[in-house]
Amino acid sequence: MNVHGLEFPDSLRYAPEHSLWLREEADGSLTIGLTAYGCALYGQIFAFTPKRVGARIERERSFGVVEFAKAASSARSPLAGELLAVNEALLERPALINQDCYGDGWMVRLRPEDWGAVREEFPLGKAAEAAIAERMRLDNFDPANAHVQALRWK
Amino acid sequence: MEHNDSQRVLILVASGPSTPARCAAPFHIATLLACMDAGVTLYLTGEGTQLARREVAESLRAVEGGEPLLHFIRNAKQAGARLLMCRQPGVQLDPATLIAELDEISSGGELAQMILEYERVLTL
Repeated sequence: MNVHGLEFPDSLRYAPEHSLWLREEADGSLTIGLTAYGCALYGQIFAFTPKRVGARIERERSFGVVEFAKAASSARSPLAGELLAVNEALLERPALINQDCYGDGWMVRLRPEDWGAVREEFPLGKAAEAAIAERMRLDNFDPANAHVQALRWK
Repeated sequence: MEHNDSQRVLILVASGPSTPARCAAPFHIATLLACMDAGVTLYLTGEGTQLARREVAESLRAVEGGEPLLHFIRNAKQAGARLLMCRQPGVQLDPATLIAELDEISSGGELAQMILEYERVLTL
């Protein structure tokens, strides 16, 4: 799926309000990362500092901090759960998020609480397109900005 | 499972225009702490009270060519930090000269109370 020139793999679930993707793993955990749109909003990411493995993350609370050129932002979890793993590679190479946000640039792995009850809040692939486009509209997203162009050229 | 309840952090900002290189760090740290869900209060005291003056906040830079201090103050505020300033006895303040980001002018007694109540106190 492509929204305003940005790629959103059909195999992933999305939390459009948080600019995050979620992948269901065989063991019931979720791998979570920043979408291409999130990367476009932040620009070059200088650091990602996750909370400690084992931390309980409440819904809408921070699972880490993203530092970018002129500011920092909380990475808020769209659902509650326990932090099972963090992507250690990002500590050395935070730019992996920009370079491969759906692959090596994943951020954390979470064991969700009551996933069955909230699963449908996170639309799969194409079903998320309208919500993502609406989020972009509300943000006055400019597909022509430099960060977006850089993502297209990858 | 480890519970990560919100902690309160008090940052005493004592640095001022005489040491510009030290002035942005308290606000950046406050931003990061607030992004990690800590309840953060920045308290300007001593020379740090000068940072609440708009002309200082708009012009002081920690590094040459960098963003003015007000940029860091706004980031901290946007992340959820509170900004307080020590009331200095005998010093007349014109509110019109202070930055809009200031939440409150507070007494030394209130500062003492916060020091006793907060989980962490930093002086920067």
